[in-house]
Amino acid sequence: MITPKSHPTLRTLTILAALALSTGLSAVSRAQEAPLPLAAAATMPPSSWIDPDTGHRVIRLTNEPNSASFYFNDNGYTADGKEMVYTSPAGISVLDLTTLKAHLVVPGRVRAIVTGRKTNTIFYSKRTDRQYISELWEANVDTNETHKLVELPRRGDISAINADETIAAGTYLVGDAGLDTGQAAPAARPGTLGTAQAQSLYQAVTKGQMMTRRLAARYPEVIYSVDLRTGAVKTLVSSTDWMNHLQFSPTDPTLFMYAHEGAWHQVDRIWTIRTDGTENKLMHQRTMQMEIAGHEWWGADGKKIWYQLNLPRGVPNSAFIASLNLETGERVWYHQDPEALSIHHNVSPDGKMFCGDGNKGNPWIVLCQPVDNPDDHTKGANLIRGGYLKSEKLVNMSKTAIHGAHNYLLEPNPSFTPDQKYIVFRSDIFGPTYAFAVEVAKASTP
Amino acid sequence: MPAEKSFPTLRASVLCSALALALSLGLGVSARAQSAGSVPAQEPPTSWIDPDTGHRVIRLTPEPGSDSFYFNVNAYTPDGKEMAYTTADGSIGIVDLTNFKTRIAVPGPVRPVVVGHKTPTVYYTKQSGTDLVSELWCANVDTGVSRKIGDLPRRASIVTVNADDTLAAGTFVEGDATSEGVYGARASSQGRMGSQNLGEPVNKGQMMAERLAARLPMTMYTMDLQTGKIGVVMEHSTDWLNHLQFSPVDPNFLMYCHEGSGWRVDRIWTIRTDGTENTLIPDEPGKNRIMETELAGHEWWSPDGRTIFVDLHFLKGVIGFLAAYNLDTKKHTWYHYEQNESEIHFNLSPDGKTFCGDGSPRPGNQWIFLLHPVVIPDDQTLGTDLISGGVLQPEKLCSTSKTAIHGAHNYRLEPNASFTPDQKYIVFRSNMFGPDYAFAVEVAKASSP
Repeated sequence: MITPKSHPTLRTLTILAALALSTGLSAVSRAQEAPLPLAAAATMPPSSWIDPDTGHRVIRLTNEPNSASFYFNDNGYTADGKEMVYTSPAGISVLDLTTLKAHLVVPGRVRAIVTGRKTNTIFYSKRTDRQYISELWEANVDTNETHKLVELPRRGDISAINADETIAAGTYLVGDAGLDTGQAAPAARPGTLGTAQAQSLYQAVTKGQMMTRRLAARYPEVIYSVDLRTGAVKTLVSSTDWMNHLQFSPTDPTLFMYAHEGAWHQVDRIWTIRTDGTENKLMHQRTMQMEIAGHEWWGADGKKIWYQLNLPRGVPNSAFIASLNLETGERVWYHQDPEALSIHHNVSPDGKMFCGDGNKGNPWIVLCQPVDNPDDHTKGANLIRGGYLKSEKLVNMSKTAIHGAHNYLLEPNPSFTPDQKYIVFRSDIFGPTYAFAVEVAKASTP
Repeated sequence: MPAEKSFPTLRASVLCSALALALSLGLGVSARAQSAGSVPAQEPPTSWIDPDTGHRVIRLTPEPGSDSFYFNVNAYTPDGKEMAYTTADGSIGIVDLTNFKTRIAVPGPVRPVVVGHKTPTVYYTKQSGTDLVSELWCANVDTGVSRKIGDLPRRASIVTVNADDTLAAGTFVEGDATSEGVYGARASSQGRMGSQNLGEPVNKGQMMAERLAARLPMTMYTMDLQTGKIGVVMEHSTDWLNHLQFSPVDPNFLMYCHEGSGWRVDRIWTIRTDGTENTLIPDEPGKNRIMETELAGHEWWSPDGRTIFVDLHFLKGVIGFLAAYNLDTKKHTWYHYEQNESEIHFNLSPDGKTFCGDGSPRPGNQWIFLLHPVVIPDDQTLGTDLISGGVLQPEKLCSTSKTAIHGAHNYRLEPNASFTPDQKYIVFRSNMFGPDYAFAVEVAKASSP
């Protein structure tokens, strides 16, 4: 499945590593690898380079082949903003974003969920030796101390941890629904697992068919919460909709977003609900056939949710990044130029810029600046503010002199670092998957 | 303030008026052909094949300063064989579309209203001896017989004739409400680019904003075309009522608009001639606009009178749709168009299957377009009363930028494309040779280029 890649020469690597240092970037740990023996250098991807097409510096963050940063809307950054959690075949590791040094926190086959918003904690689940029973655990990424939080309901898993780390939320299929067909949960969590774990990082080629079948099956499913102090489990939603992508508000401990999964045009996808089961509300009402909304995420301040919107699917140049302010009800739709088109978008912590991971037809990591369309006494009520995105290419994901082409069955899943200076993504441009960071500013010494 | 023009060279002109070409295709350009021997060097060609598209273009009118009609105003006689146009001196000319001969049907100065649906009659207004009062006339374009229908109300214009040629409709500003705010009332010279060039006012946007803000009281009225009797449709409206268009099938039903800066109004309405059923289109309260600064405009009727089409600037300069709304089924269809394929005006073929457009000043967009609609098939989308999506696939027919044959069209004159009744040509007006003329571009590609 891994395609042959081209590798930089030793000379290139040495120069690039030197450049990383000369610009004062925290690439120290990488630079130390520069004087490697020739044989090792030939197989080790460069630790840093400047994208020849964009002039932006790219840094390889992880050393382990098949290591990966998180799914775009799962928080991987520690509460203090200094570290980033990632996965590898060895388990869950944490990377110091200032020194780029990493250490293994949780070894073994476990499933990373999210990093806490309050403490430097990674939450993860692991299977027990009893069929269909998993446990929720947490680990302090600085001390490596771990402890079990709760045992989960049968077939249950956890997707999200709330803002003050007191409540977890997840889903399970009721009874034995779907077990006979083996289609119970196809690609339910694309992303956070390493290849040595239960699921591949790569999307299935037949994902579309699988999703249609799963939606049509209408299995009874429950969204539940677990009180992390008492272990009390509470059912919040019981439904035959296919529900997943639970994401807690980064600020409001009692509010989370979830999705009705399936072919996006065949569902009303984006919902929010309170942890007591009240205020179950649809966030986007479609107006067009084949209109799709999805790949939703929270703004860092917890006031806005963002999502991708196509008016409708199948029409070129009809894609937007849409937002809803949950406090004011105001909506803003930024039209995407062709260079902004991406599998996923994300927003910077200050809410002022976006990034995208490109797609097969637009293989670039991009930065997008929003331009608002000022209103001028438009007649009507509850109107949506318009605007458009101006895009800048940051990383060429096609074959270049430095790396091979990225396979977009692996979704790069971009996110801004907490200091907004880098955009992190994962890629197989060097064969195995690694996490990378591209600098938002252009390199000053190209 | 005529804009600088470039003209074709003599060589280009001779090459292009190569009438042999046109004749060899069996096109009826004999009227032009007769004058070929003595054409002055600056006479624009009567026919050429657009070098970029391979489509034949025919100049329909001989008079410098002649223009085809506004895109949604019918200029074609009921038998489909003739087309009315205007000349610089305000006369009404007729092109015989079977042989492309032209003649003056109504000597000016008059102002054409529309060509009737039932008989080959052109309706027009003339100034009366009384200040601020015009007269409505009609003339049979074949016999030349004309008659006065009646005096219009004071300050009134009349703009549309119904499906069975029994009623006309128009508007007037009531009383002496200040003319300062009446659109076009001041500095009428701004409305023309030159003696042989129509054009939109340079300060049109500002004038429209001022006129809308003036909130002048208006009446919408009908005139009986047999008796001249005036009927009131609506009175004392302080909305700016404009662009009345009778349904092509229902004699007592018309569409009109609230004019003004498009995002500040709810533009499109329908009403019956007795004043009932005054209805915002689409008639779903709160659903007629989604976005701030969203505007709709340049609306027109489908030939079957069931669908209203409108250019929907969802986010102006960023994303737009040609929107269709079926009055029977309440079904909406939005055809997305690319911004570099946007049109000042769209139009529809008589069979309702193909659109055309007149391009725009936007860079790279100076073309007369044929537009093929493609609906995106639905696949069990969740929801009710959803809008169908689609795209317009453009085909370029005639360049309106500078070519070897002609200069660049100045888009202050809006080309206003329309299909001929046989759907074989798209008619438009252009100043690409300097003065305005009406042109027709063939929908099919020229077979012997």
